[in-house]
Amino acid sequence: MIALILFSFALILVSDIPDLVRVKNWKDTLVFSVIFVTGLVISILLYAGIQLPSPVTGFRYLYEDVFKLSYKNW
Amino acid sequence: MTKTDKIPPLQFLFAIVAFIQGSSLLSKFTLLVSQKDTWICIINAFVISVLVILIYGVLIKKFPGMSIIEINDAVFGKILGKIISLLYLYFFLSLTTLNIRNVCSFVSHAVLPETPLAIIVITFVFVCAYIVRKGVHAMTSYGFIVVAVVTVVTALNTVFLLREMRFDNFLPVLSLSVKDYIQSTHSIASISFGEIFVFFMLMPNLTKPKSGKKMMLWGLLFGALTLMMVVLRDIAVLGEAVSFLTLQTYETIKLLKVGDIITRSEILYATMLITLQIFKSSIMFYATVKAITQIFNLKGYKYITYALGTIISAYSLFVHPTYFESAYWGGSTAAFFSSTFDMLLPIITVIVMLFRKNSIDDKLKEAKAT
Repeated sequence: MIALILFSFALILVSDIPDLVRVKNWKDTLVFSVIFVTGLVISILLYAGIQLPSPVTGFRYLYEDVFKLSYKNW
Repeated sequence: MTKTDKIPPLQFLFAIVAFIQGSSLLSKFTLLVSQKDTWICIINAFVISVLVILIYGVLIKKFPGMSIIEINDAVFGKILGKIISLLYLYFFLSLTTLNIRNVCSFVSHAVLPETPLAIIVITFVFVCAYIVRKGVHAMTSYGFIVVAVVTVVTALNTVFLLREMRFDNFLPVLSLSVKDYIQSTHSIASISFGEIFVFFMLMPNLTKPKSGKKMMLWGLLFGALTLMMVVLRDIAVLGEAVSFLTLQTYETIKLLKVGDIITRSEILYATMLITLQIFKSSIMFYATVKAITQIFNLKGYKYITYALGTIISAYSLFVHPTYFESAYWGGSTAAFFSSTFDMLLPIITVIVMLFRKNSIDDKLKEAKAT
C-alpha cells in the first residue's frame, strides 16, 4: 500500500518537475515543492493511522466558543 | 493557461446553473431543520442572495475582469490584501474539501458501500484535477448539456411522482419557531447560493467582463427554480419523513415506479448528482489553484494541480473524522463560516473601496498607463 502511495507521488513528480526545471522557473518550483511535500507528509501520516487534527474542527471551536456564533447556542 | 482561455457569457451562465443544481445535495441539512416550510426559506434566501450579488456587481463594475485576489490587492493595499487573500484561499480550500467529502460520503453510502472511502476520493479528485489542467473553457463547456439533462430528468421525475404526492403534506404552514426559519434561510443563502462566490475567480476568463453580474443573477434564478422544484417535490412526497431521513431526494426517487418498467431509477439520480458534483468541485478546485497562483505571483497554474490534488484528497479524509462531525458542522456552524467569506468580507471590501475611492482610481489609472 505504501508502495502505491510512493509510486503515485513519484508519477506526479515526474510529470511536472521536468517542465518546471527546463523553463528555470524557480518560484513555481518552490511552491510546487512545498505543496508536494505537504501532500506527501499528510498521506504518509494518514497511512500510518495517526489521527490528524482537522482545521475545520478548530474553526468550529472558534465560531462556537469564542464568537458564540452557532445555531446550537441559541 | 493560454491567454485565450476565455468563455462566452452564456457558458458562464450555464456553469452557475449547474453549480446551484449540484448544491441540491446539501439541501438535506436545511430540510432537516425547516422540514415542511423549506420552500419559504428558499424564497427568502433567493431574495438575500440577489442583494448579495448586487453587492458583487459593485465590485465587478469597478474592477472589470479582475478576480477577487486582484481586487483585494487594489482595495486593501499590498500587505493587508495578501492576508485577506490567504483567508479566501483557506475558504476555497475548505469548500473544495467539504464538498468532495460530502459527495464521496454519498457515493460510499448509496452506490459503492464496500469500497474504501480513500479510493473513491482519490478517483474523484484525480478527475477534477485533470479537468482543471485542461483549462476553463474545457471545464465549463459541458455545462449546457448537464443542465439540460438534469432539468429534463428532474421534471420527468416530478411528473412520474405526482401519484405519490399529497398536497396536504405542506400543512400546517408556518408552525416552526422563528429560529428555525432564520437558520434555514441563512444556510441556503450562504451555502447553496453563496458558493457561487467562487465564480469571482473566473472573472478574468470572461469575454465580456461586465456581463458577470447579469449572468450571476440569471444563473441564480434558474438554479433556485430547480432547487425549489426538487424541494417541493420532496416535501409533497415524503411529508413528515423529511424531518428524519438524511438523503431525502434519494429516498423520494426510490419511490418512483411507472408500471414495472421504470423502477430503481435512483441510480440515474446518483449518476446525475455525481456529474454535477464533478462540475462543481472542478470549479472550486480551479478557484483554489488560481488563488495560489495569484497570491504568490506564479506564472502558470497547471504544475500545482496534481500536487494540490494530493493535499485535497488527504485533507478530505480527515476533515470530519466521523459522519456525525459532518452533520453537526452542516447543521450548526457551516452557515456562519460560509457567510463570513461570501457575504461579510465582500461587503467590507465594498465599504473600504468607497472610502478609498480616490487613491484606488489613481492606482487603476497608473496600472492602465503602464
